[in-house]
Formats: sequence, structure tokens, C-alpha cells
Amino acid sequence: MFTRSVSFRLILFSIAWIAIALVAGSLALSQIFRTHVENTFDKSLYSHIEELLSFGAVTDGKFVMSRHPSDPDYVRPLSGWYWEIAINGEAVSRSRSLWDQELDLKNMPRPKLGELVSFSATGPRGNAIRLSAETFTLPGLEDEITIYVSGAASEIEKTMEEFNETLFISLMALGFGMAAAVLLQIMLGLRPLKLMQSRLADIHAGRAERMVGDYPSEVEPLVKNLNILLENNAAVIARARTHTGNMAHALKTPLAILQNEAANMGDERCKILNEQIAIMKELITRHLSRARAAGGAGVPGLACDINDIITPLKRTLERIYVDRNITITFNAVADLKVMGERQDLEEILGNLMDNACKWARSSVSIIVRRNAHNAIIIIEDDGPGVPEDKMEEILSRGKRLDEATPGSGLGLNIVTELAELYNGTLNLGHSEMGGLAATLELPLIPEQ
Amino acid sequence: MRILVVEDELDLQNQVKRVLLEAGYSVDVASDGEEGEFLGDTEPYDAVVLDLGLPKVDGITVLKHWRQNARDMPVLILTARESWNEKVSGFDAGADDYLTKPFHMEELLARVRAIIRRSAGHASPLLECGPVSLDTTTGKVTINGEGITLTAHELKVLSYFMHHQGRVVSQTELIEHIYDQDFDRDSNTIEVFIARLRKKLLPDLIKTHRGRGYSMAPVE
Repeated sequence: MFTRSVSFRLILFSIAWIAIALVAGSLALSQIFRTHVENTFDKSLYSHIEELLSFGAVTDGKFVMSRHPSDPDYVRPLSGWYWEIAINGEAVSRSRSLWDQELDLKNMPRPKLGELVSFSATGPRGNAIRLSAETFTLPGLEDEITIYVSGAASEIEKTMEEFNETLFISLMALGFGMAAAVLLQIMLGLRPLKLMQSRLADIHAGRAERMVGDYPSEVEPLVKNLNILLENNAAVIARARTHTGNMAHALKTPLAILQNEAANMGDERCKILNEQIAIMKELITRHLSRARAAGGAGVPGLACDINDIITPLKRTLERIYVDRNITITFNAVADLKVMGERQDLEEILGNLMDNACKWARSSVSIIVRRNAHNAIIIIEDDGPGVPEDKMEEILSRGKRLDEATPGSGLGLNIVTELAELYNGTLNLGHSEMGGLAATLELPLIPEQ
Repeated sequence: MRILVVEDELDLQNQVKRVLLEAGYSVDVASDGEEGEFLGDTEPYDAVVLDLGLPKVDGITVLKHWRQNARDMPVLILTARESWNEKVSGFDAGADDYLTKPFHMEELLARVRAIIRRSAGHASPLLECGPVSLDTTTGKVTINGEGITLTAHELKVLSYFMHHQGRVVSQTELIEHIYDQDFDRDSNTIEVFIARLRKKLLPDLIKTHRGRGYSMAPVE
């Protein structure tokens, strides 16, 4: 999952690159510094070579030292600071610090005349030393003399250690700083995408109908196209609904004419015609509802306030049932928004409320509540109610229990289908008022 | 009672007209929204049967126009559109009832009778005036519980008076509500009908207000 994330990839590559650059840089810096330290060290060794040379003299064709350098390092035994003067690879004089040892001249380079060499080697007792050596000719001396001067390599290492430590700390600090900058940059850079994501979630949850807000020029075309797509989608659905609706309505008028003509025939044929017309009417209603609902469910950007649906329906039903003096009570709960297309929700609630009014003796009660995720709408009447064993039947088949009550027996069937499309449920039970209690649950728009 | 039927499908229009005529109403018809709107504006109807999907002007617009112009005759919407959304907008536009196609003619008649009765302020389908009673559902007239046979025109006149008891009804008003648009109206026939009603029912059931018209009220 992480490997699919753009931020993860950007961060990974940036940090890998920073790490490689810093490691390579630190190695290079360390090497440059070491060269510099060694050069400085070598220079100080060279000054000792010159000093030693100035103390040397040739007496009777032999090399003698008039005196020894006064530096206490060259006196302290095995200090790492040594000098040795050799003629043809044989030591002729050496520092006190060498004590009873000699430099391993055989394994050391012997510089040519006039050449100054510097190198690292192992001294007596195995300690690392840094040497400089130069070969000279002295007047009166047949052979060339080579002067070796060494210093303890530990001094170089000590300086290097200090430097490396400082280098490490500074580069780590730099590395962390850069990583932080990368993170910040990616977060800021990808923020429009996050914003888009949350706006899309809003649309999906029905809190918005289209993407709004300012987006950077790289993202804006995407947002624009998404909005066009959303609008097209809505238009296609609207068109499909209009077509289905038009066809259904166009069929009904001829059906009405047929039915009325059939009534005049007044015999067995009339009965058959009427039955078939009734079946056709129910099929049209059912398929119209389904086609409309199938188009609406799952379309993002649809949210409806339950009150805005129940209030007009209540007003309408009170007029429809004006002769029967049915009192409809409704407790409105503010801001109860559910996901769904308005007309579908009107069908669900309209059919349930109409059903209650049809059966009620004098009153219908609509109670609206909410729990964590759902809006709960309980519609009760004080009619005769439905026996337990019939409830399953009316839900599943939408069968009319009492053929004497006018209206489509499909009402509850359609309600169940529509409710399920919106991830809702419909349950029937007994009302304390005496009749049927229909409990409808519909998912609320999630809080942001 | 005079009814306007606005329906663009001519077969259905004829069927509805025939049934309403058989039930004793006078019927005018219009085949598009414009004609329907004009008739509703100018003629006094006791009820209108209005289709919604009409040519030229749609039914809801026609209904809203009437209500804005204080034309308050009861209107029954007769339409193929059966969604609750459409029902709500129909009632909100000022409809008194709503019937979806296809429908049974008996249902249409019952609803037309009911909206006429309700708009005249009667809660029960049985209208009474003293010993005289009229069952609007069946058109049966009784006096002291005894059935009386009336001709179609006599029933129309009686029915109008029964719906508008206690109010003076001018002869013009009576003619307008009893005959349809194309009928050759003759005020003398009204006097004949009233005379026959007085004879068949009660002599002083319908009072004459000279120069103003007639009224019907329970006999003291």
C-alpha cells in the first residue's frame, strides 16, 4: 500500500538521495582533510630533516652528528618521534627515542637524491608512524646519506577523529534538515490532492454536489473535468428518468381509455381486460420506480433533509384524506439529512404515510429520531393492524391484503426495494396505537 | 352542475364527458392548456377535471393561473403522473384531488361529486334541506324518506340549490351552472323547472326574490 503512495515514493527517493550524497560528501571531505593534515605534518617533519642535516658533519670521510636535536620527543623512548640517518641502508645515527630499536629501513622506500618522500609505516613495537625521508650528498662524503624523520601517526589520527566527529554531527544535522524540508515540501505540494480527496468524499457523502475551491494550475484541469463528469452523470440520469417517465405516462392514457371502454362491454371479457389492465398498470409503476431508483442510488452528491420531505407529504395527505378527518402528527427533528435522491425518498415516505392514512381510523403518527448512523422514521396508525404471519407477505410480495382498499398493493414492495437501494431497512410491527408501525431506517450523511 | 374537462387525448375526453353527462352534469371540454385556461377564466364551473400533460400550457401552470386570479372552483387532477413529488406539486398548486390513470369511471365520478360537495361546504354526501334530501353519490331524492323521481334537468336545478342553500341564486347564475357552453339558453325553462320542483317536492321549498332570483332554505 505504501509503495503506491506518491508521497511515500517522493520521500523515499529524496531521503535515499540525501543519504547517498551526504555519505559520499563526508568521505570526500574526510579524505581531503586527511591529505591536508598529513601535508602539514609532513612539512613539520621536513623541518626536522633540515635541522638534522644542519647538525651533521663529515670528519675524515665519515659522517658524524655534531649534536642531537633538543626536542624532548626525540629523547623520550619509543615516543613515535624518531630520526635515523642511514648510509646505503645502514643506520649511522639515530634518535635516543628509538632506544635499542631501529627503523625497519629495508621495508621502507629509499628516496633518490634530492627527492623528498613521505609515507606511513609501522614503527618499533608496532605503532603507526608517519615518516619523511630525503637523500643528500655531503661534501667529503662518498656515499649519499638518507635522513628519516618520523612522528607518531596517532597525532594525525587524533586530529582526524576530531574532524570526523564534527563532520558527522554537522552532516547529520544537514541531513535531518533536508529530510524535514523534503517532508514539508511534499506535504505542501500534495495538499491540493488531499483537498481534492476530501472534497470528493464530501460529494460521495452528499455534503456537496460539485468540487469547489481554488486549485493549483496543475490540478485545476482535473477538478474541472471531474465537475463536468459529475454534471454529465446527473444529466444522463435525468434524461434516462425523463424517458422512462414519459414512456410510462404515455402508456397510461391508452390504458385508461381501454379500461373505460372495457367497462362498457359489461361481461366476462370486461373482467379479463380489467385484470390485464391492472397488471399492466402495476408493472409500469413497478418498473418506473425501479428504473428511477436504479439511476439514483449511489450517485454522489445527493442529500435530503427528512423534514423537507415529510412536511409537504403531510400537507398533501391531509388534503387527500380531508373527508376522513385523519390527524397526522409529526415531530420534526432539525437537520436530519439522509443520503438519497429526493424523489425516491418521497416515494418511500409517501407510500408509507399513504398506507398509514388508508388504514387509520382517525390518526397517524410520524416520529423521527436518529441514532449514530441512521435516521429512524416510525410511521404508525390506529387502524386494524396486520396479523404477524401476514407481515412477511406484504413486505416480500407487496400483495394487497384487503382488495377492498383502493390503491396499488405494490406500495410496500416498492418501499422495501427503494430503501434497500439506499442501504436502508423497513420493518413492520405492531403500534401501541393499535395499527401497523412501519419503521424505516436510512443512513445519515456522515458528519464531516 | 357544470364541469370543465381539460384533456388532450380525445378518446379519453369523450369517455369522461359521456360519463359525466350520464351522471347529470353539464360538460364543457378543452383539448389544450390554453383553451382550458380561458374557459376556466371566463365560465363559472362547479368543478374541473384537469390533465397535467397538456399541449401549449401544462396543467400545473393553468391551475396556478386560476388560483392566482381567484378562480376557486374545485379541481380534480387526472394524470398519468403518479409520483408523490407530482402529487405534492399538484396539491400545492391548488388541486382539490388527484386521480391517476388508468382509473375506474366510478372512482372519477365519486371524486368529482366529493370535490363539488366539499367546495360548497358540505361534509356529508347526503344533502338535506328540511324534509328534502339529496344523495349526491346516487342522485336519489327523497322527501320525508319517500323517493321522488326527477328528470335530469330538474335534478340539476335541485342539486344546485341543495349545494348552495340559504343564498340567493340569480337566474343567470343558475343557467350558467346548469347548461354547458353550447346550449341555447332560455330563461323561461328555468321557471318551468322551478315550478315543477315546487309541485313535486314542497310548494315553498324554493322562494322567489323578485328581480334577484331564487333561494332555497329549510322551511321553518
